[in-house]
Amino acid sequence: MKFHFDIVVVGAGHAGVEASLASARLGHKTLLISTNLDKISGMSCNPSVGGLAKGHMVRELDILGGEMGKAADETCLQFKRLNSSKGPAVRGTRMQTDKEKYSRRMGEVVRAQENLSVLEGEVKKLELLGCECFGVVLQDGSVVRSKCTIITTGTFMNAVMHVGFEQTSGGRVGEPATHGLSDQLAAFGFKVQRLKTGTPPRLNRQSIDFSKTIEQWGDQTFYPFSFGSERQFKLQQVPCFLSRTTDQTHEIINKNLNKSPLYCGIIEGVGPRYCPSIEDKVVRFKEKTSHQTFLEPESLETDLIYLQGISTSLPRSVQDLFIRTIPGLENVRFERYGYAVEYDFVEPQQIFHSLETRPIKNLFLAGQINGTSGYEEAAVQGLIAGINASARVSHRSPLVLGRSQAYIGVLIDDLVTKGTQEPYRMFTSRAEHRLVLREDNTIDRLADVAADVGLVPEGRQQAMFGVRESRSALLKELGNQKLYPNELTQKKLLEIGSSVLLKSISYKDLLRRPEINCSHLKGLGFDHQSDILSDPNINDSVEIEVKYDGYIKRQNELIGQAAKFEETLLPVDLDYLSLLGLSAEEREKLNRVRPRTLGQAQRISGVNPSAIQSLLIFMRTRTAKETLLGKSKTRS
Amino acid sequence: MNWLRDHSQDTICAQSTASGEGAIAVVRVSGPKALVVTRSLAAFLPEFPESHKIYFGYLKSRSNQDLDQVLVSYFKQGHSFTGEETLEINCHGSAALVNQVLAELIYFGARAADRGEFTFRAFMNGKIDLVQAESVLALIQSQSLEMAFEAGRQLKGGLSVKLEEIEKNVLFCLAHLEANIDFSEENIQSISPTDLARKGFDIAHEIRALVTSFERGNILAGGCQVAIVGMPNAGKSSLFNLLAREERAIVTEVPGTTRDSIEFKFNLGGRLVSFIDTAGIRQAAETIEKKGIEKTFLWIDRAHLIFYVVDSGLGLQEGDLEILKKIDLSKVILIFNKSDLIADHQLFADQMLCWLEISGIDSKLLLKPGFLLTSALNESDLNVIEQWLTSTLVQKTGQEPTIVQRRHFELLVQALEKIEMACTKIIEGESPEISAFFLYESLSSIHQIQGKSVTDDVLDRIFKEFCIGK
Repeated sequence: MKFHFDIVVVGAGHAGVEASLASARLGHKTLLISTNLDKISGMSCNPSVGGLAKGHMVRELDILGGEMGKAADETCLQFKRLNSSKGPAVRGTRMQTDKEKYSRRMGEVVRAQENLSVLEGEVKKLELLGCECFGVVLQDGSVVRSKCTIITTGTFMNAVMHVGFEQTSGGRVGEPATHGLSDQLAAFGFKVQRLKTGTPPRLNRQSIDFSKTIEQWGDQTFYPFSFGSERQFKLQQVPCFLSRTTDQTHEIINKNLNKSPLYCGIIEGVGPRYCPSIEDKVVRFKEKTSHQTFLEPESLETDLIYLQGISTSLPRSVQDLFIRTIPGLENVRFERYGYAVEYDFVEPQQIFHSLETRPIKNLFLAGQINGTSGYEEAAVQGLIAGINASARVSHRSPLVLGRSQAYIGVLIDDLVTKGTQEPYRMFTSRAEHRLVLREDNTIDRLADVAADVGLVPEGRQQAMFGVRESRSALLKELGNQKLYPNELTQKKLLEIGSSVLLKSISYKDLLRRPEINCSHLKGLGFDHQSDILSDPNINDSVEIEVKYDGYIKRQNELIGQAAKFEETLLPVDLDYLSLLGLSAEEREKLNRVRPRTLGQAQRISGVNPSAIQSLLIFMRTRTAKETLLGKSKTRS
Repeated sequence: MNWLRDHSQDTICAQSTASGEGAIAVVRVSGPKALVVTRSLAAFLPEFPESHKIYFGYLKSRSNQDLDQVLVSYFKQGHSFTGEETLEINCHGSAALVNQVLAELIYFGARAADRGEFTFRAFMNGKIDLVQAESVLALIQSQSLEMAFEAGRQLKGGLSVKLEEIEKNVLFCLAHLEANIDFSEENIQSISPTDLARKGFDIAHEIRALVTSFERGNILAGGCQVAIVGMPNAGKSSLFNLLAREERAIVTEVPGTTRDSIEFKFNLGGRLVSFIDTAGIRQAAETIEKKGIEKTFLWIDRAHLIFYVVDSGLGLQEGDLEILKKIDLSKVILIFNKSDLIADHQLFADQMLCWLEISGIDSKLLLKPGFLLTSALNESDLNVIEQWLTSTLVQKTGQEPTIVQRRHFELLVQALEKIEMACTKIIEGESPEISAFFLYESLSSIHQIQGKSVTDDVLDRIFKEFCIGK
């Protein structure tokens, strides 16, 4: 049996769903294949979307036309703006979501999508001809032909789950691993390596004594991820519960380290440093006598409670013991034990910024297969892979976002340039241009790109442009109109808790005062449309632009200084191994990464500024030679 | 986090004649703002000077003091060595004066050129042909090799060690700020803002010490002076040439060839050292040589260290002993040169030291180990001397390294400014990403001195320092 599609997407996790939706919405006949169609966009680990730097990416994804933000808004059980007391660039939106509803909603969207078909099955291998991919082969031997193929297999390739010394094949509880694909890639010459991740136990809500924990509620004010979502909760909001490990917990863990696959050398994959298991925390930070844990409800429809912070792969009998030493959990019933999972990933230095693999044409990789961790990291890669596979099918150039343009740009550039040794998670500190990559200015940064990509419906696109224009109009007006010191003005200023004016100032300068915000302006005589002044979509971002003007300017200066390097493209066929002025290490690294731009070359660790000078010299020589050759040709 | 900067549009300046004392020094200013910057000092230049024309007048400092009477040549863009708008200032050759002129140019918006930067720009602007490109590459390569080499041989307390320490401390502060941002939900124990600011001010203090070392070490003192002294034809000039790695002094078989003192300066592990080749000491026949010998005695008094060179073939002579009796031995090391002429080095050295004792010269006063053996001919001799010198300098000048390059000085001033800014923001209670922003700028300046690209050091530090995990 043979099928023909424009684009085939393997895997229906967060990456696969965004990839297949993007591709289908861009008008390409798309097939989404998964081993388990009941778990579309399943949340295998924590029940939340967003967080610091991750929330930024969800907003970017939303503006570009992705689905994750909308789904999270609709299924939000608890909302929090993290770092709300800190500067606007490092505030991040996080939503606890209802896992069941989230997955079901995504499944509905996928099934209702025009141009998109779904198929349950396991992909055994790629259909290759030379260095080009023409589709996939399923377990029953049937072939699905496609122009482009996107692999988003998450933690499933050659996956092994560990609980104590017990090992089971599988990428998630109850779901077997997939075999064939990564072996084929390795045989083709790809560098395929192992990573490890873990998940905590799931407990039954009815068996927990919540009186021994501290209730934690979310924020009252809701700032949805998606542009256009209503600023109102769709679901009933629920609390989480805080508890802590005790001396006893640590004692039991320490006593049973000899039963931990992590400490007995059974697990060889590298786990994330920012998400260590509880046994890791107890061993590495001996001076800490207690670690906090949040009890988080997974869904309104089930009794599952996620035990955040207590990921473990100790044997069940040990988990039974130590979990019950945590206050509130004395009589707890386990719904599922914690486990670690080891899986194959493809070293991401082997892919282009477009997410297409270097060795095999028309093959794209997205999500955990590229060594990342997290739903958001996966989703944005899925979106970019979907957009770029579509671009390939319709002979357009790929979308590559810059590091000063979006966190998505930082993520992909980091992966492609530096590779990764542990599951890669986004942090705000990874973005050197952090001050201009804010949640509030996502529209300003990406509305044009979104229009180019064409995933966003026309009406929504116009609304985005409208918001952007309203913002710049307001900003301009704030600079133009002036406030004069008269009796009434001074009185009003004092009432607000501000100080009197010594001379006339622009409203923009007035807004720079920390105690002044947009809501005060009307009362102080600022003449502008009321609805715009009170629209948080507009005034939030304008206020921030004004108050952080100095820093933003300096950041933009730095971006400008780097621009020349970011724009200087390096020839793809450059022979680094014979290039003068480079150390052996620099030659080897440049040759492996094959940077797209001079800026990227400089970001490769171990490539020093002197090497960049050498590259500049080489490029100059090359242009000069080409000019000479050109001249001699015309002469002859 | 990593900031890459394009410096190619900066206006740069440097002395383009060899450093050291000479009659005339040429300071070159090149870049888009070359004329504007130079005119700030040389007000006598017309607003639109003619290319390839020389102008005469007084340079004035920012406080309107006369600096020097100078000749300034103007080269318009496209018609200079670098291909950029260039001015060349011919001033008198005192090192202090040149330094002051450079300081003024930098004050008015130029920056000190990196080594080889004029040549690099000339190439990038197509002013040097393709064949020459390779030599530019070699230059850059040798520079980085030299840096690596220097870094490798820096003893404890050297400049690179100091910079690494500063870098480490800045990273510590950044790790605490960043942990407070990216892991604010993790209930981590980061240090208080007050302690963080205190740490920051400590770093600022360290950087300031380096900044002042430049003023002290370079402008005023001119580094450590090492006089090469000895009888005529002992091989002083050959040794000098070896140290200078080029033929600066004229070497002949005729004793008394060096009539005047010659000086050569270089940077030894972050310390400025100048060698002075002196005229050989003897009862001279003619007046010119006599004058030279008088000068030698001046140098013996002034120098911080003395290499007393002895021809091993002849051994210590009466003349040597007479001179050594007059010198402060605590700054002398004997160099037994032409040691290839003797068979048993140990026996020879023992004999020589014994002779000193007999003559009433306490050889224990000499700088340890008292003597070095050289042939003044090869690299291994050079290594022996430089290693000895480095360790002696560390003992003599203490552990404090000295900034000798103006470009480094300038970058340190920037680093200092930014770190003080960061501390102020911390104290004012500003959000951590703002303080971090200034710290990254500071770190970027330090990295430029180190010639290093940035890695994910901050995240590594956070994971080492804090217990993190959802």
